Amino acid sequence: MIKLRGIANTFPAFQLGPVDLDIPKGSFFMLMGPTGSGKTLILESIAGLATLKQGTVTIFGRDVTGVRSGRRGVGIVYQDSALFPHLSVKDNIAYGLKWSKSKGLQVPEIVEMLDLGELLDRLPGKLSGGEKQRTALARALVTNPSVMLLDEPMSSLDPQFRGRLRRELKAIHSRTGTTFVMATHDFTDALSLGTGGAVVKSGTIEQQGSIDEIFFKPATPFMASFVGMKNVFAVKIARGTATTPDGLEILLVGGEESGSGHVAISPESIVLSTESGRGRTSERNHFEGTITGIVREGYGFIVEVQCRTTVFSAVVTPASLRDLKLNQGSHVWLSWKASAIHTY
Amino acid sequence: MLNKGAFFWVSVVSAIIVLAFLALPMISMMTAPAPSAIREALADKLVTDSVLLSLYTAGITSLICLVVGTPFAYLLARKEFPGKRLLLSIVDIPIVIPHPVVGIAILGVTGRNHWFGRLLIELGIRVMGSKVGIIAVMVFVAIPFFINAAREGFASVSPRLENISMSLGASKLTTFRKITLPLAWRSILAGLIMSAARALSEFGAVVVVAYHPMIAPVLMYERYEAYGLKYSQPVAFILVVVSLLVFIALRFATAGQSARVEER
Repeated sequence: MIKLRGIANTFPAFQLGPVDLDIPKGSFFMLMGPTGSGKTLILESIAGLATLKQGTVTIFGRDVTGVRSGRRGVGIVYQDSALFPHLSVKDNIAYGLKWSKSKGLQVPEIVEMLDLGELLDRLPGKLSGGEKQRTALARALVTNPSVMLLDEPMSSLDPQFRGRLRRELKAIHSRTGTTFVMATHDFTDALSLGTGGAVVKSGTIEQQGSIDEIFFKPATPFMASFVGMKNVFAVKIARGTATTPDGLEILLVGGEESGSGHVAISPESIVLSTESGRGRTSERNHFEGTITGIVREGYGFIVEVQCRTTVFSAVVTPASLRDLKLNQGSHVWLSWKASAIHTY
Repeated sequence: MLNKGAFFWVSVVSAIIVLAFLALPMISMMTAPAPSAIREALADKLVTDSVLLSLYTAGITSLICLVVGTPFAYLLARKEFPGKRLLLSIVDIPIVIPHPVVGIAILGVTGRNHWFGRLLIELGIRVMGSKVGIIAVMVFVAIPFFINAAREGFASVSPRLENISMSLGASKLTTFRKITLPLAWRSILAGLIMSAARALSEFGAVVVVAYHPMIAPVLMYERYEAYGLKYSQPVAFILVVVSLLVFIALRFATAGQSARVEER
């Protein structure tokens, strides 16, 4: 386990922490959060590259708080690759060998695995974005780090290169067993690679847990909004029912604490139909409304439906949109299961 | 050509005026001395000694700037701390104060009436009328040029490169030697050349602190005062030619290293 306990520092325009974080050994841990939330600083704190005013960093039982960066067994890859511009690909990769005593993957294996054989004599200025990131990855891997820190390694790549690097990262992770910690704000990265993760907001951890928990059980309204939940409403909860300010009564699973709170319903959980399904489906919540907007999003559509004054968003496939003849102004029924609702 | 706007033509005229203003005196100075006068000056030991002394003192000045100024320039490029703006302003002071004032200020702290002057005398170091004095004055006026150029060079190297180097196991010193220095080298070289050029051209402050031994600008001034323009021009010609040769040699010597960095 990598354990961060109460790490903190104050910068002229930013306060980091205190941050408590547990990263399981061997995991592919995703550190998510908006730009400028402090993800890079947390990675650099693990690597020993950021100055900390307080707190401790423990890597697999060893307190490394005062240990200098190169002696922590940690490799780091930055968003911009940060290749040494005056050294060839070969020299970049071999840079850390002089100080590395650990044994594991050898340079030829890494070069072959990342398909860098043809590029060894080139200078970084002559490489594409994907080639730069693969070189940076190889440079970090040759020292056989027990922890690999990746700071948004795919954000500067074209989409076709992202898929390739994602597959390569997955392969390296399963082959080496190294603990990977990756900062990202791309949910595709998180969902396809992550085994666990945390969300950072303004220098502190907002939520940590499994990827499923983060995406499907957001613990706060910020988390719900961050993971893309579009239907987040302030409600009053009493006796298994959440009541919106305009009087919509949303049935919950039951057992929720009474009082003021929020509910969130993922747009994928809402079923749209042109006639009432009440009594005919297992969904406990049924509301009639009017379509106020249809917006293309990726391969599907987001349909906005107004029930009283509350506007719900539901995801609909192009085929459903055509079959149901959905248009702005159409009357529709919304339904969803009580178990699809998150309360906080 | 005629379609170009008025602003273009104003720019062209302004460029011609500036270039003519800069080039004409230089061309005149370089062409005025007769070959025989230059040969005569080259045979004059006073002239060759003063040119060599100028080159020697300017060279030592650049070295001192390099050794003392490099760590300071790195600190200014990398660290943010209270009072940094004040420090930057202090570094620039020699650029803005009149040169004879520099000479008088240096004489003030190195004379018998100042504790530092008495300490130097105790140590057997003489400043007035000595090479030490010339170099002290030259360092004073030249070091801002070196520090500013080196600072910009260090600032242009991403701290992430240093972070990566250290995460791979290199110490801070090794990182500086293998990563930062090769990437900032061009700016450091520019700083060295500028500080050497500034030192070579200094007259106002040197003449106050050390009229003797005579550096080339002081000799030129003396020849001009005693014998007129005609006798000072060959010295100027030789100093300019020698300085240009030194700078060209320096550029060539480091061209190989700089070229690789250029390809980043």
